[in-house]
Amino acid sequence: MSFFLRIILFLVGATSLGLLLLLSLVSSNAPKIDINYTWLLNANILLSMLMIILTCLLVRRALLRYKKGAFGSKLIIRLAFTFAIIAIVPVTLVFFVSNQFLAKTINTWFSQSVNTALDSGYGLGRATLDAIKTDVVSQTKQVATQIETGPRLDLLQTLETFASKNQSAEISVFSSEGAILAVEGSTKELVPDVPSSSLINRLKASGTLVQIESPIKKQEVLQVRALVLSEYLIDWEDELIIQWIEPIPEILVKDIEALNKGFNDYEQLLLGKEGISKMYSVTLVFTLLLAVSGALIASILLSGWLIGPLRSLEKATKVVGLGDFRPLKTDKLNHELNDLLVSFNDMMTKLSAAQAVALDSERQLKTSSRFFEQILAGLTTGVMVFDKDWHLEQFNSSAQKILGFSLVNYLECSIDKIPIISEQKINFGNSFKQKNEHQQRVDAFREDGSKLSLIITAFLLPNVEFDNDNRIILVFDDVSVLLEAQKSQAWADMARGLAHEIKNPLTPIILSAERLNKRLSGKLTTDEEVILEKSTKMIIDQAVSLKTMVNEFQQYARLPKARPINLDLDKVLREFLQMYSSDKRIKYKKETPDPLLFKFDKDQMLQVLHNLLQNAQDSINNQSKGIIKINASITTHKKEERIILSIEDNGPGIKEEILSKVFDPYTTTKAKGTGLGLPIVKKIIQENNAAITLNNKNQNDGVVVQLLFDRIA
Amino acid sequence: MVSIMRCLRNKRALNLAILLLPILLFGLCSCSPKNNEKISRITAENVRLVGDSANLVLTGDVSVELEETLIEALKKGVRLQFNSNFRISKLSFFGVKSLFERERKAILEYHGITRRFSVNLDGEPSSVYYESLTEALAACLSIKDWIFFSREILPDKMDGISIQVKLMLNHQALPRPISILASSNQSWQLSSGWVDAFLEEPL
Repeated sequence: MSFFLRIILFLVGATSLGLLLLLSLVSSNAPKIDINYTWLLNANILLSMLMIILTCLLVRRALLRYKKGAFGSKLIIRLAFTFAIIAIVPVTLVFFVSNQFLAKTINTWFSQSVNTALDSGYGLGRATLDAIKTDVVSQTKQVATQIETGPRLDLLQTLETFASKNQSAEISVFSSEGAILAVEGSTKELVPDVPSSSLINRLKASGTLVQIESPIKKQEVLQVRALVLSEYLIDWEDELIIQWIEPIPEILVKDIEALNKGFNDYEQLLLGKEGISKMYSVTLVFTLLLAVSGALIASILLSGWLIGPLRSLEKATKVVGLGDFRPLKTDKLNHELNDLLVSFNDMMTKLSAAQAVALDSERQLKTSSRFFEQILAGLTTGVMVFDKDWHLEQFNSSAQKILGFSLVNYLECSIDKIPIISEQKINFGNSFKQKNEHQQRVDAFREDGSKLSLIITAFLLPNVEFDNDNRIILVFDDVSVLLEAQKSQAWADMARGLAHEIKNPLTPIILSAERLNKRLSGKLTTDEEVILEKSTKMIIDQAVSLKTMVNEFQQYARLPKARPINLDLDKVLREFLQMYSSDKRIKYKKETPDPLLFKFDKDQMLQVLHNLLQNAQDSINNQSKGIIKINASITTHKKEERIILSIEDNGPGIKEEILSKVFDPYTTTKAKGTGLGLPIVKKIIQENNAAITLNNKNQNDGVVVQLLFDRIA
Repeated sequence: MVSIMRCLRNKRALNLAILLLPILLFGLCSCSPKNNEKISRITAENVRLVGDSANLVLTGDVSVELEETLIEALKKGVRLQFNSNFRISKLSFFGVKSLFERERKAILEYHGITRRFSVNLDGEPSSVYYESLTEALAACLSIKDWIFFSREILPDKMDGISIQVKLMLNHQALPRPISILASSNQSWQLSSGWVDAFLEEPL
């Protein structure tokens, strides 16, 4: 609940309580509290309505939360309902009992006998006063009669006679204008109490007048004033006013006042009976409303307060899964729910620390893994990891480089589907039955047709963890170059040995044959001479041929170290082709305007061109429309520019079974070939860090040789 | 409890109930039985200020009609306090400014045994007794010669000047239970309201 709503609730509650207290005090008619009851009543009604609205809003809020299925809403509703019942039922009972009690109590204030007694006393008091008034009037009339019938001089005597009979009375005689004519009696004043003009007027209208009054400045005293107008006087020329003032005894006055007060109080109480009942009922109703609203509000607030920590826990448990270990807010009160939050916060702190350790470990693991990945990537050795079912799990870049194709598409695939090594599952699978490590050499061809020789070592990783199945690691190296070098070296060694052994006797053989021909020339018959000539020529030719072959062997074995310099291919080709200018079948074309600069040993380059062009010429010698195309162009490979020199003929091509061995020494299709031309070319190319490929054309109508050089910008 | 929850799940019904509940309560509180009550009345007519060039005196005709309930209460000893108010005020842009005010409190009481009505004006030590109710009421509410003041109190220009008189029965002075009854009973509603008085210029 918002702070603002809490403040409002508190203010409304406190104000309602204050107003209710005031209403209660005002209802009890406290003399010091002068507050307009109607205003107070309206204020109470207004605040009660406000309380009810606030209560309804809170209840509605709780119900809506319940409807939405918010966490803790069911518990809030149940707790609030229980608390409300616990509070409302007793308050309601007290309300009804109080109402009943009040009604009965008010009824006991009134009694028929008291009522009757008061009425009787009231009547008695009136009758007493009436009797006094009648007596006083009667005596006044007697005085008047005496005066009327007596002589004028007997006025004072007459008054004295009556006054002596009633010593408390004051008897006065006034003229019709109000002038004092005679006074007798117990008057304590110098001047008798003169009737007012209004009294005289009333007297003149009625002839007799009697009234109960209080003397001037003596409110607590009562007296009866009787006035009689004497009109038919014998000895008087004017009317006379006879006044008799009879004080009512003090004790009687006190009794009359007491009776009057008691009667009035009782009657007012009776009159206000409904008001009192209404007043207390209203106070009780407001008390009930305040108590019920307060109970409902308190129950919802209390439930919310109880649910608050649980709701926090529920939210926290959700975000813990997302890695949020922030501690929950606790309050300063000492209670079990707070202890629960504190315990939860402890747990969060420990979890946070554990997560930090785990993250650190994970980071170290990643660093380590990245380190090993970098090592694997840096290895020139190909590495492939398979699961226990020979499905590819991991590989390094060298593996792709060596195999010549991307392995990404073969991830999770069986080794059976991976070219070049597809057969190894059976080989290594059988070997793993005996030991966990096995090595094997595999010869194959890449997709581009180049030969590949691999030394593959397979390891069966031991199962060290419960969830770690046996894995197989294949580690392989491309030994093609090494083998080639070894082979080349072997051939070179052999050629060197053969050349040494063969070349030494060749010169004596040639010399001997020439001497033999010279010594026997002319000494033999014609036929014999012909035979001699033929034989010695054959010996010399074969020896020379053998010597040439030996020289080539020596050249292959003792190829000088390359001294590359910057060359312009176009220029080199044009100079070179001048030697073949007589052969019109050779067509050269530079396919790019850019200079074709590259690094190569110039002499060796000329030899390479010579060997290749010689082969091309040999292949088209039997062709009527033989042609040799020489093209120079530039291609871009991985952002690096390379020069392509292609020499293409339209000869018969090379048989497929020989094609893969054309760069091996002593492989030749020519009758007099040594089989060293292309091996020498390849050796020179390798020495100068270039590349060469030799393939038949698509329809086997010729051979295409491509030389690749790194272009110098 | 669950069934109550289900009934109150309708949001529209819930909002309507919350709005109607206070209105119903207010209705219950404000609705009081009328029971064909007779009405007491007090009227002031022809109220005016008369005088010469120096002084002014209030005068006017007041008639009072007390309903039987009120007379009965009076005869049961209930003290009735009649307040007479006189004011001269000036209405301006900033509100009402009072120029002259007077209040008179007259307490009318009946002494049942002696059958006298007593009137006490403005808490004087002695009361005046009357034999009849008419005389007593006249003493309480008569406005003739009640107010006497110098003409200097009035401004030269009478624009926006309001001279008013109000005669009323003060419920607050009644005993509390009777006051509660009086506040909801038309028989006890006795007030002339503010009656405008006019200034009668001398001929």
